[in-house]
Amino acid sequence: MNLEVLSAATRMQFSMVVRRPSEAVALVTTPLLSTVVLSIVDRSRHEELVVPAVVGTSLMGLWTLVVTQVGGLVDADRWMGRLELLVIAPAPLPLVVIGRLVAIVSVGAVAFAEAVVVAVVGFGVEFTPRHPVLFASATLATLVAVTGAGAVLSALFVLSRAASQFQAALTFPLYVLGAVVFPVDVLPEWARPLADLVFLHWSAVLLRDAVAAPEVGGNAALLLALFAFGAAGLAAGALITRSVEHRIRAEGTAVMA
Amino acid sequence: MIETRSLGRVYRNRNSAGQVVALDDFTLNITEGEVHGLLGPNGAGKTTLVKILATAVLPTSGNARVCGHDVMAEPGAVRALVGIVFGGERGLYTRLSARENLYFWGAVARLSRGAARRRTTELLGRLGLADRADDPVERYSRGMKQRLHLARGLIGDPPVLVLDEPTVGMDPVATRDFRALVADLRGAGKTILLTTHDMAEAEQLCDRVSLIDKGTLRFTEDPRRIGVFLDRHDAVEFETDDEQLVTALSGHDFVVAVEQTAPGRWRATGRGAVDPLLRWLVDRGVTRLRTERPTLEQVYLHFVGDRGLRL
Repeated sequence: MNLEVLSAATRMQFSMVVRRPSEAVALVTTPLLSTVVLSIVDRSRHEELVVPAVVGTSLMGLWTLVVTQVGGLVDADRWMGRLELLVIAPAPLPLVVIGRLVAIVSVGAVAFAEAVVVAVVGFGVEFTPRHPVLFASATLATLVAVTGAGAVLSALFVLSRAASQFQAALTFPLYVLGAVVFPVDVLPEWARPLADLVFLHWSAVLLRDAVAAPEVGGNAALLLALFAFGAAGLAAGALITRSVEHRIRAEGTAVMA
Repeated sequence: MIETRSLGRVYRNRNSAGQVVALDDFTLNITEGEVHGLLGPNGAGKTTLVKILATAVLPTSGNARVCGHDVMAEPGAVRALVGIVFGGERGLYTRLSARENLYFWGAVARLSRGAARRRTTELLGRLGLADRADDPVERYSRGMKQRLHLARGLIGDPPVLVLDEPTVGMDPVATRDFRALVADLRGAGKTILLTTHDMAEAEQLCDRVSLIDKGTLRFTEDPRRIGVFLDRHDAVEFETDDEQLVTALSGHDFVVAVEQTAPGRWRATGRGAVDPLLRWLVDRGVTRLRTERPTLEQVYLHFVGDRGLRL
């Protein structure tokens, strides 16, 4: 029965995107961003930056879409009076949220792929992973981690009445501090340890290595950490959502009316 | 079916250190199959009661049960038994079609995919939405959206329905149709709690009505017997062109007031029983007359007072 709720929420969210594709604007901006970044790299003649640029813009497309969609769906549900109905519905709210996140992350995966297509078709980049198993695993782990992070964000956005205002802070600052687009040694020395705290940096390292590194023996721990981050995010998101539900009921700060 | 015992809810006032009592010592029993009207001005506590019964808000004192399940201890069980229908535009995914909305809310009501589809088809037909089932809801009229709200509330086939001012903003035709649907649901054995400001709606649909004001229950009664609260407001409408007779009538002890309602038409409010008033008029040749019981609206105004926009 839980699967029915998950899949219904996923289908519903897909239908919402199909009915108003403008909400998935990251699908349009990602190819443009890839073009800009790859043009700069191309002009700089630093070939070692090409793979990080492709991987980085892919991750940026994915994460930008997820953050904007998650913030948007919570805000819209709150102001349209749907969040209240979801809170008091028989199905657990975390299941509905995760089901919708699956759809959002799936659409985000298209942005992820777009950046690769731009690199290959537009700039003639040879983007053939040297380690396809690691590449597939790292991609899957990234999608799981993004889903988990989205679950936490959506729960926190329920608490905030200005979710959309946090979205900007969760995108470009994260890309810079996480050394998502460029290698970490581009950052000032004092900022480099911060990159290790950003899960998108773990994804970037894994994907870059899967594409270009001669040897990838030491990446298993990072891969496991990324999967664990996603699982922990899903669990934490469910717990926070439950606790938010209880707080809403106890304080009577109904999300609606 | 719905029981509240000394139910209370106090909110903290965010703008001061004080508290707001939204519901106080509220005891009410609604039996199975009853349509119960909840009347009261804005801020009376109607929505707080609805939210407690829907498990959206916890009470701060007393308890409430739906079909024997405590709303605090067993919110999951209560949620499966109660369908909530709000009035207005909110609560639907307007980009999606009615069918897509109902599939989703059916799953959220814990129906299997097949059951949700069957129930959706049934409800779309029953509520007259089948022809437009695949149109985006944002293209629907207000009345159609309200029917879809009702379908959403009914998707899990709950035995209890809570309708929170469902006809607010609807045009007269849509309101009439919606009331007919509610009457059908009563016929189908649903227990319905209806909050409304509309006295005609309450009189037409409800087996009993409760008046709530400032968080407390003022009375519960059959709307057709509601005049017993205001015997002294029993009135006689009569026709005469003799203004001296009207002046003489006004001076009698058994008359509270006489007012002109139209040229040659008068309305006399009796003190207690209207027999002496009627006899006095007939003895003086006034034969075009009729007695009038106080309406639910008059009772409402009597208890709540003419408060205007003040809460």
